[in-house]
Amino acid sequence: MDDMTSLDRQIAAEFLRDAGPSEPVDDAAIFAGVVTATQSPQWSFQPMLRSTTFVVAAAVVALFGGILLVAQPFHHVGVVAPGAESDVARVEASPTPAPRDSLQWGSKRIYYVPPPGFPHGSPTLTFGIHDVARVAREACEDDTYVEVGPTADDLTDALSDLTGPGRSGPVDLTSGPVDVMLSGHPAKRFVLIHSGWSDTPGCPALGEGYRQLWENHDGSGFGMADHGFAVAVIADVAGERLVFAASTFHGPYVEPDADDLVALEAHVDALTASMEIVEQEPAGSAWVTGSTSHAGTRVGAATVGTEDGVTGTRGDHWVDRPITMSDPRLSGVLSVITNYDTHQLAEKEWMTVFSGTTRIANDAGSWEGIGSGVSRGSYPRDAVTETVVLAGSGAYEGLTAYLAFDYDDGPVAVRGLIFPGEMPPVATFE
Amino acid sequence: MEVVTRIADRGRAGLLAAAAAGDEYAFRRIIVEHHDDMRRVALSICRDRAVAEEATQAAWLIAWRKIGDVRDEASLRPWLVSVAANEVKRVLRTRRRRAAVEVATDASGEPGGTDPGTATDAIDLRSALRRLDPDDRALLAMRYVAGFDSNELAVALGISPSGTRNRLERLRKRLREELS
Repeated sequence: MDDMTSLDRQIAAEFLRDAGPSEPVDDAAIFAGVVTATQSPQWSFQPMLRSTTFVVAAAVVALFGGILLVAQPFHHVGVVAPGAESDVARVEASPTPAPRDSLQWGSKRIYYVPPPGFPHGSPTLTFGIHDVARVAREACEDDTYVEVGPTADDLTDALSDLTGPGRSGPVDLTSGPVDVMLSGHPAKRFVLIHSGWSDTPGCPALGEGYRQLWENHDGSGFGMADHGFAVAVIADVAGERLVFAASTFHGPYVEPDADDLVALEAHVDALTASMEIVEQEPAGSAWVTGSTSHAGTRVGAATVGTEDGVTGTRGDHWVDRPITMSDPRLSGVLSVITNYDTHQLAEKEWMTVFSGTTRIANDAGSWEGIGSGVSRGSYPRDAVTETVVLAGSGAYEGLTAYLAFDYDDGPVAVRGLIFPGEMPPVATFE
Repeated sequence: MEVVTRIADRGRAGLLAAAAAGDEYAFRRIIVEHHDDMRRVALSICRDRAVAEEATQAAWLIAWRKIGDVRDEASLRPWLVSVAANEVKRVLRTRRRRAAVEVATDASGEPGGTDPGTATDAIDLRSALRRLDPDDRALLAMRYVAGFDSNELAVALGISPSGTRNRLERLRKRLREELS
């Protein structure tokens, strides 16, 4: 390593702190996980992409470069790493079709039949639903997006504009849009291929392997890694845009082959044909668990003042924190604005009390209400507990959510209850 | 660990070739040598132990299948770490979690907390680092946790050594501007 500046040393200290200490390696267990995964072909659906024939793919690869996609779906199921727990469903390969599965899309439920095992034992055939907000514009530059309109045609046009010999980068559509039907609704299907950054002249700074193809309204997105491929389907469901993308992921430096492409296309076709979209009646009471994090953007500069040993902070406003709950009605984007007072108890010991307003929003509606909490140390830090009572609106009109947040320096556990009506009236002493 | 010691005298060059040929003992020896680096780099990118462990395990599956693509012993470590880094980014996206851009205003891990009036600089740096996207965190993790020099970074990232230096310098400049 060359000379380290003060900033280097500070960065190194932060990263080494996050990396934690070295630990013993159980090579037998790790290798057993590898063997188990290798011997048990699985497929999973994660957010990624598409298809056509290998002939077409090869032609495009030759033309532009190559592909591989990775993405973040709005909702997804999938097979993941061997021997690891995940929030994606694991589907064992089976000679008979798996029973119907489903996922939530706004106020609707989408039922589908998962395809049987992926023929090449890929650990990561994935698909997910996307609520696309912005589409990548310049394939050779990071963070260059254009807003896309709300209709299926808007996104179809935006994706179509990414392809062709006039494009500056390697994100290409190898086929499509092709007309298909999804649960009786008209849809377009695209095949996408990433020719590989490292093979693309003019993109020297993007050699790290992948970038996002689009971003969703909830901050997730759909990415494409070197030499990946995917299929995206865009449906017009009575004026609402439904997007799902499927792909395989073989890992960096692993190029897909003709069979992979053909298999992915077949899986997507079967999946599309099996889909049924059902409007759901608003559900009633439900226990909910899930998580959020400290991620997000601080949009309100907190003002701070100290008086009599108490440091008061006002207007600490954060937005765009993802929250994922067991009940999709409470999943979406979290915003919070907080006032807090930090009391010094001893030379290096504080505790904080705070109150604020919380909002959770998603496509179907939103929740908003007030809450309060306490923490040891300077808020927000360790041992923080907060409870909020949120009133639903939109599709959640008439519902109330009571949630408890257990903050720590990392993921934030959330649990609580959705119920119809309001909190009972407050009892008082005579 | 017994089986691992049986191949200890094969030599490092032979280890890679043996693993590529499907030799379990050679592959497990490689796991012993590199797993901790891969896990720590993954953990420093995502700051989530479960994600890091899942990604590292997934990386070994890829390594088992593709280790034959590694050209030489010198490329093995950067290749393995880059596979782990890519896997952690994939898992993060899969989980729709953005741990790498989390902003924690906690200034230190010291018991009892930190004086909110004096910890601003440390908070700012930590917050700035946690706002970085996973690609940038991966670059810094490989640099500062794995200790890669520009040649090793070049192998890991698939770009030239000068390209890695440029990326690092741009990143440092951005951080300085953000902290100023």
